This record gives sequence, C-alpha cells and structure tokens, in this order.
Amino acid sequence: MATREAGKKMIMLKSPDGMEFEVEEAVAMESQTIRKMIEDDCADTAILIPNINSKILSRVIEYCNKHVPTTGATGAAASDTVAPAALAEDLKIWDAEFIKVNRATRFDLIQAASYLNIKGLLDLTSQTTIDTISDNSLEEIRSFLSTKNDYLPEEEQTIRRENQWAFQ
Amino acid sequence: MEDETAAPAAKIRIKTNPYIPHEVVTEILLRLPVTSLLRFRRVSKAWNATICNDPSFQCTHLRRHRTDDPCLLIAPRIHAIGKNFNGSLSGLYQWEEDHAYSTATALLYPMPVPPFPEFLEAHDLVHCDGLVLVGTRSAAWVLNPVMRRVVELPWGRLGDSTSFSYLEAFGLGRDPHSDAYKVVRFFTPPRVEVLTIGSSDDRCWHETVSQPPWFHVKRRPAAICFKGSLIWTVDQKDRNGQLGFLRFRLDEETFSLIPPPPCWSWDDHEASTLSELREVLCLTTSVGLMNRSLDMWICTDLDLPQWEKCYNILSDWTQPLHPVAMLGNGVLVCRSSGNYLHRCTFQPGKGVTVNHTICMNDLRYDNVDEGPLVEYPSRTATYFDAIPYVPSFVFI
Repeated sequence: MATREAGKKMIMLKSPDGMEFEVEEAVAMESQTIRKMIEDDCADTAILIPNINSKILSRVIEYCNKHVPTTGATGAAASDTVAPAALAEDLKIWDAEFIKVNRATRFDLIQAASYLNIKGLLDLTSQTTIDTISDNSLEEIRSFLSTKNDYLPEEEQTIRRENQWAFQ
Repeated sequence: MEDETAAPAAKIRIKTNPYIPHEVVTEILLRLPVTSLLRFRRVSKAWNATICNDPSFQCTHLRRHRTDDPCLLIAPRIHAIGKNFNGSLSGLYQWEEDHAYSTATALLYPMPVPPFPEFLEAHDLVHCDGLVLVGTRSAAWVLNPVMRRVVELPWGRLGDSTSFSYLEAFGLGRDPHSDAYKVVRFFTPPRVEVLTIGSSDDRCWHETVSQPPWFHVKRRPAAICFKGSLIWTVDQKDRNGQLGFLRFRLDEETFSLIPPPPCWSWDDHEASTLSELREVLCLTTSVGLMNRSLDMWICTDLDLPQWEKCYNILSDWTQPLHPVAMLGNGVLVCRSSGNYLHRCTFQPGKGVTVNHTICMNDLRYDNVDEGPLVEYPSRTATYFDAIPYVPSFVFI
C-alpha cells in the first residue's frame, strides 16, 4: 500500500489550522459529504474542512485509508490471498485499537464523522460511547458528557411520573 | 503514540469540562433504545427536549430502529372464571430471544397495561410505529406501551353507535403527508370511517368521501400498514370475479385494488396471509401436501404492484404457517393455530426452514406485578395475540 499507482486522482484536504493532506479520491469519498462535493464539481483544487483540526482530520483520513474497499485491479493481490471473513476480523481488531483514545478526542471524532458523514466511523465512535455509559447512573452520565442537571426536584419528579401510565 | 501526546491535553479538558456539541449528543441518543432514552430524559432539560419534543429526532430514531430492532409483542387473553365472554389482557410482553434457545427460556419482558374489559371478545391487536390498537366490543384504545400513553377512541358515526362490533375490520397507519396516525374502520356493506389521532379533531370520526368498491375484506389479520397505505385481503369475489387486495391510501383517503400474483386461484387466496416484513409487503400461501410448503411472494411498489416469488418455506408442521414478524437478527417468526410460534431461518443451500416450534402457553412471562416468570397455561389463556412491534416515541 506504500506506493500509490500513478494516474490515481488525488484530492487535497485542508484543515482550518493550515495543514494540507493529499489523499486518494477514493479514500476521500468514504465521506459522503466530500463525495457530494466532488460529484457536484465543487472540488477543483483543495477542499477546506471547517471545524476539524489537523489532529482529528489526520485520524479520520487514517480511518478512511483503512476502510476504503480494496476492490478492482488495485486490490487484486490483497483480496485474492485473504478471505473476506479474515479481512473483516482484521478490520475489527484495527477499529478496536483505533478507538482507544481519550474522551475529548472521541467526541471530536464523532463530530467530524457526523459532519463528513462517514457512517462506519460514526457508528464506531458513537457505539463505543454508548457501551461506556449505558450501565452508568444518571449522575455518571452527566459527568461523562459534561451536562448539568438543570431540573428543579419537582420537575424531575414530574418526569418520573410521566414514565408511569397516563391513563385517561 | 497519538495517545501520549493527547493524554496531557485530555486531563486539562476533563477538568474544564469540554463543550460537547449538540450533534454529538444527538448521534449518541439516536443509537439508544427507547427504554434507555426514557431514563435519560432526566439527565437534563436539553436532553429531555431532544428526546420528547423534537419531531425530526423522533422520526430519525424510529426509522433507524424500525429496520434494526423489530421485535415481537405477545398478549395473552385471560379467561375470567365462570364468565364465557369475559376476560382480560394481562399485559403486553416483548419477546427477547435467548441464545440457548429452548421452550422454557424465551423470556418476555412485561409492559403492564391498564385493565381492558371484555378482552376475549376483541379485535386482533394492530401495530404501527410503536402504537398498538386495542379494540373490544365496548371500547377501543390506541396505546404507546413504552411511553405509558393511552387514548380511548370515541364512538363512531357509522354502524352501531355504541359498540365496536368485531364484524368490522380495523386498521392503523401513518398518513405520510400529514405524519398523523389514523385509525380506520371498514364496515360491511362497505363504508369506511377514519379517526385522526392526536389532532385537534381527534374526538370525531369522519366517513371517507370516496366509497370503497363492493368488497368484503378479511378481518384477520387486521389491515397491513405499508408505505402510507392500509391493505386488506379481499374476502369475496366481486361482481367480476376479481381477487386481490384492497388498498386504502391514508393521505388521499382513496381506494384501489392490488391484483394478486399471476395464476392465483381462489384456493391460493383462501390460504394466503398478507404481512409486512422489514418494509416489504409479503404474501404467503400454503402449497403442496399437508401444508408442508409455503410460497412467499413480495411486492415493494404499491403504485406499480408486481409480485415476485422469492422464497419457499419448508416445515414439518401440518397446520398452515402465517408470518408475523421478521426480527432484527433476520429470524422470521410465523404462527399457526393452537398458539404455536415457529422460528424460521434462512440457510444457504437449504432455503428457509423452520428450526424451532414453541407453544405460547409454554413460554415464561416475566411479570413485575405478579412475581417473576408467570405462566399462562391453556386453561387460563386460550388465545395469544402475536404482533410485530418497534418501541417508539410517537406521542399520542
């Protein structure tokens, strides 16, 4: 994978902090947002990705590089020797390593995946967060997701009651 | 290596509580089941507003979980001792599949319901987007079990003004134009009236302007809601001897006929069941000796209806099977007379086969009110409703 074949179309992605990343068009098109820009011919020279800093953008590109389908002439050597099941297993292990990041980075990745519309990355990052919080108490969830309890005690009581049958 | 550089920054950020954009919270909430979301309403006012008052969130949540997590809802009808036509609905139970699958381990989680009278003399339960229509002779309700909401329906204008006769055919569906849910009653001779749930005029039924063609429709199963239409099976040859399915568009409130598959005989029609499985309209009919084989046809477009034969289901059971629901894990659940459920799976090379059969009387029902693991033997529960179900936040 180290040497890219000549003639492949490359796309330049720019982060707001001035970094530029040259990626294959196929890799960039893992993002549905970028795909739409390319298909609508809005991407002549470079695409500025707002709100996503270079650190997060490089991680996102790393993810897309790994997940771009290796079909057609380019991937023949790789996919002939490795069974699809083994390939999927390999990706799973890679994903598990990839998502071992701190909390703030994970939230940044969710936001980036949401903006760039990369379904696989969005599922991976969101599901990891859900696995962390689903068995926690409300107080732990508030602290984990930096949310404050802004209810008055009686308001919270009302919601408790609403979760009972409201039989008319 | 990335983590090493990120770690100090993270520590600082935790202390200062990073700002988490709303779209990140929404992405997480969208993936959670309804039961978790009900609990998470209490996290903060903003979360509650997203969960309960944001129609676009609720719509996306429903769309996602409708295809990912459809499940089965089972309702035992309990005999009141000494009263022939009296009984009650003791609860709605959500089917949970156990990995070590056996007759005694399919646990069903309870959804307590208010006491519904005269439940034995009742219509079949009807489901649409997490709402359940419960109709007995003396009253009818629409409920959202997870939201703990119930709306009692007013008396209609047509038919007997103080009953919901079980001779009429019920239906429940979503009008895609207005996003409103509508209850529909089909009378014989054919007249149809509609009640819009949750609108300002939800206390009044109205008769449809366009008249249904002269058809009797099957009352069981109730109308199938598919892509903004209700579909009933025509129960009698019309004047031209035509067979097929009656479509009622919920937005325009108009009727049309969906023709049956090619070379469809009256016998095929009698033995057929219409169902909606994972957003595909599905028609099955018993073929061959002793109902051992079931042909499955599918139709995806109601405007240009065409049936395509896609599967053949083989079973050792001599009673005809009727598909009920396609669960999230791809398991097709069928029922047959005598309260039996059949779990069918697709296996490459063998097609769709029944790999497990259980009687609903033998299942274990987890009931918080009456102690865990209640049993409903055949002397107390004579009939079980079994319908597809998707928990939702649809507010009524």
